[in-house]
Amino acid sequence: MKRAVFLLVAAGLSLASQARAESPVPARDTLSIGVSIEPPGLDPSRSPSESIGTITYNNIYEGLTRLDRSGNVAPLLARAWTLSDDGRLYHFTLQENVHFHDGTPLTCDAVRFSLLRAKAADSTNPDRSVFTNITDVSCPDDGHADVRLRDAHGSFLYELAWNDASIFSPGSSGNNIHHPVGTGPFLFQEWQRGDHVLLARNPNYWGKPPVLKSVTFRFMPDPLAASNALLAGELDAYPSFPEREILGRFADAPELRVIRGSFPFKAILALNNGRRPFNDVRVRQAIAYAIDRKALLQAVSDGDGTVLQSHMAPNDPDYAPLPDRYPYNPERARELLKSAGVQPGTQVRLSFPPIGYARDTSELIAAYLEQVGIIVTLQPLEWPAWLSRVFGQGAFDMTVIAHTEPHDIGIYDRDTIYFHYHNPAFHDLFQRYEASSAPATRHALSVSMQSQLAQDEPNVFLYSVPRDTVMNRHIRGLWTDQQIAACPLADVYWAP
Amino acid sequence: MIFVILRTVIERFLVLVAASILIFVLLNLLPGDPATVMLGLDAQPESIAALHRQLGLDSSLTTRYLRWIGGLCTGHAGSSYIYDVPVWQLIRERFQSTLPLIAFATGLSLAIGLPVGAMAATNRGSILDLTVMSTLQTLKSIPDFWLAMMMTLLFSLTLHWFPASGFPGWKNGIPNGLRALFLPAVALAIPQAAITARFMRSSLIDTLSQDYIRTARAQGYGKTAVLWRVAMPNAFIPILTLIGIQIPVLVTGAIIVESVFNIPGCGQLLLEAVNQRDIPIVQNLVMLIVAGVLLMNLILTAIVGWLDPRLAETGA
Amino acid sequence: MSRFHHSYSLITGIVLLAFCLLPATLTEMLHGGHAPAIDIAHRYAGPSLDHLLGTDPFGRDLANYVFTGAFNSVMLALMAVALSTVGGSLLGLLAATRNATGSLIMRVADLGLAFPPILIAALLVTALGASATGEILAIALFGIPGQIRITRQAAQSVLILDFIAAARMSGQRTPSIIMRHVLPNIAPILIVHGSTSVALALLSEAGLSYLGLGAPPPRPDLGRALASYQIHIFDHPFLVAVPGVIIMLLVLGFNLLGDGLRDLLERPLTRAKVAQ
Repeated sequence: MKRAVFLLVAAGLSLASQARAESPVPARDTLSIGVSIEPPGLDPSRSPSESIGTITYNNIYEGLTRLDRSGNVAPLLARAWTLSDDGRLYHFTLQENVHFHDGTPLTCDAVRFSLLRAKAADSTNPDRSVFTNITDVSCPDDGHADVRLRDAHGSFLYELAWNDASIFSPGSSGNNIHHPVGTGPFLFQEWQRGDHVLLARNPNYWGKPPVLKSVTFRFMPDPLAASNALLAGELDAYPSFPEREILGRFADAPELRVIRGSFPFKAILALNNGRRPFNDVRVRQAIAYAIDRKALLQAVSDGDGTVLQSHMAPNDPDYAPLPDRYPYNPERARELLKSAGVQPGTQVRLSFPPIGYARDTSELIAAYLEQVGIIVTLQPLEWPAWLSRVFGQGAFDMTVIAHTEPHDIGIYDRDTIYFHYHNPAFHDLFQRYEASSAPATRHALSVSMQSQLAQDEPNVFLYSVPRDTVMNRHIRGLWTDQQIAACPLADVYWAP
Repeated sequence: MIFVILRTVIERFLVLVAASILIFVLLNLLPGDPATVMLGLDAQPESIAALHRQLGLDSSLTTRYLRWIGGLCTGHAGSSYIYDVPVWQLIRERFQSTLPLIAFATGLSLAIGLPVGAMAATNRGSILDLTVMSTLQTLKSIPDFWLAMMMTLLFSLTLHWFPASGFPGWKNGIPNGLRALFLPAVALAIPQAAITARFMRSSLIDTLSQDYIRTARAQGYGKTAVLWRVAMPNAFIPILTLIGIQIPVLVTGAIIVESVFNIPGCGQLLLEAVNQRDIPIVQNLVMLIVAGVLLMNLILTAIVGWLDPRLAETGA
Repeated sequence: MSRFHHSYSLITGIVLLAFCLLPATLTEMLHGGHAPAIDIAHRYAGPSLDHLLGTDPFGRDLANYVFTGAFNSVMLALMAVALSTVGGSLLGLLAATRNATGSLIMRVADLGLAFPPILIAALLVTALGASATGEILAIALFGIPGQIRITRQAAQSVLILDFIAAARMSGQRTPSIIMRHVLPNIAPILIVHGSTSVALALLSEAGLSYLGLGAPPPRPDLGRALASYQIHIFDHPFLVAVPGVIIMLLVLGFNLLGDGLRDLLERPLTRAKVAQ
């Protein structure tokens, strides 16, 4: 009897599924995505704004190589390549039958044009320093490109995958800021400033055609407004949701999912190592002891995230889970300050840019430092002022900032870096890391660098928080981990 | 008379010139370089120099000022540094929400303030007067941005009558646009309505105590007739002056309310442009606002003078 | 009836101000204007005996924070109004007594009135850096054009009176006439305007801080608090309600005080006007 019922149910189920298969609900083929910042233009070779990459990376523009969703370099417009033995000549084989959105075919000329334009003297490319290492691009024929470098450079293919290394059409590149033209799976349709950018499927795409017919990127800087739009179904997805404190609102929404992704986010309290008293390692260590970093993480992210021990986010393959060298210990901080000759009541200035985590973290740090006798004056700066005074001139005492570039531990070896850290031991490690190509050696050297930084504590490494994507539960294929600022949509579709 | 008009116009023009110099100098005193803002963290000095040349920032202050004013006179306001779009185009797009918002708010504040003020004046000293005036005084004391938040909480997030934020533009139909502007306009209008009502009340009380009203009453005109035909029009004249004074305040209020409701209007544009050192936008938008306010004041003064020649003397 | 109405304004105004400012002054005296201690373990606590109004997102005592903020706002508003009253009155008196300079001053006032005040504040704060001083200056600057107009108008209405002409005949010079006759006569107007200006300055202060143009943390500030509590409007609406209500009560208090004072002080002048 029981068995019969089971069969009946099974039959009913199969009937039902057949019925569904016979009259399929038409799958949705449009997507509306919320982003927090409106780009200043859609030309990545003119501005470093992350908001440009979110809209255009591998949607509109494509480069010779690309990063996949795990951050690995993969071929794109270059189908294959070979590298000369001295590591200075790349021979690229281009994809065939690729056309720009303006109709012109992709040839080696476009590659040469784009790369040389990026390195030219009047180039405004944000990563111009990468391209100045190129001495020449020559075209043996339309389908191949030879790129010659001055110095061998292991990360060159990785850097070619960046959005500002995209290949542009020589004829239309001047107008990319308003009307971007690339070779990607989506065509630019319209940009209503202050509201949205609309992209449409490229019917002549050279690769696998995208599923979605059109995609709207809507600018919603206010997290409250964004959450309302998501709950009302006006937005389908919001990658990188800007406010963790209101994610709870989505818990009861049956159609929405919140996905916790990874992000190379490294919030630091940068210290001016070139100034007294921060040139003394004891003072820097004392400051690290004085701050309860777990409490900071609690306050900015409800405790969800990682307290950092060095300049590396947990999603980095080279990340080393170092022990906590500086657990919260105001007593130890006071001793160290005393031994370094820093009088109680010493005044320092903490400058911070206009962004939520920086403001909250700075206010909390000021309160912690006051406990150990350092009087902090908080100085809010707007972005232009922060960029020119802190980042440009390095004229500051302390600042709170999050570095979000992947693999950027090399900034501690830069002569011009704003926090003025110089250590020959670190320099040596980094040079060996750059020169080596064996993965195991590189990883070991990276761990040594992280541990060297944890010991020197040039900056107080604070926390890393995950990246939250809020989206309709039927959406598939969206990137939820951030390798670089990007939201490639070619593989995104609606599941029934 | 012509001399007076000419003098007024020339004076206002000089005010405008002074405004242009003031805004230009202030903007160029600000710390932060537009080129560093645009090129970001890893910009090379050569790239910055290249951008300076492109933007014309390598020439002297005087040249830049004259180039700006010359452009303004020939109708070329230049392009935004950041968006590289003609300034007028950006401003025109943003005015599509700001102008209707200010007009909507002004209309609402008059529609509420005038009748309420008149009612209070004609029932002077009554419980009604007392209640209405205390309520208005309270409303006037609410910070507009907080009122905006509270109204969003009630009408958008709890009752779902109005969208919580944003402005869909007029392309999606005028009703949708008006619905999006309704709460911001109310938040902006309520404190203004309170001011208008108080002003209307005292103006009407003042008018009602004038000799000519008593004369009219003595001549046998009914109380209502005197109120509507004689007192109201006279009491309304100072309200026009009040509107003139309130316009810059409304512009400021609009900037704040736009920020609460996330409406892409002129206020947002202005604050963004200051923050990004997009000098062409700031200087032209400010000139437009100052010129608009001066023009409105001129028109209102002219109307007041035409309605009541006595006031024109003191008004100018 | 009317008299009752106005004394009622005065009393209500004083009661409201006392309600906000007494605890504010007390908090100030107890804690010296310091922001309350941060206690991350007790964020968002509800009202209790330890924390009468609960705690904020940093676990600070909300009552302590809000009342210190109120004290700061009122101090800042008073300083700004003192500046604009002194500056505006001087310029206004000058405008009333000197023809050519007067017209120049009035045009500058026109410029001041036409410039959106928020822009002045934004530019000032950007140039000087966010600080209480910058905010005071910006708010004082908003107030000056209005103060000039009011002072000039009031002074002119006194200057045309007969006894001024008599004083002139008896050889008194302008400065002495202003000190002896004009100022005492227009003082009530200035005081009343001052009181309403404080109300307006409080609103401006809240607006500027809300937009991030006010004094930087850790100095407790109601407008800044509202800006950062805004996202908690769902989960902790109380956090958004309390600072807003405090600002409203303070502004209402000063407005009512102004109304009451107007009735008390301006009456003799109105009578003088009627007599004239």
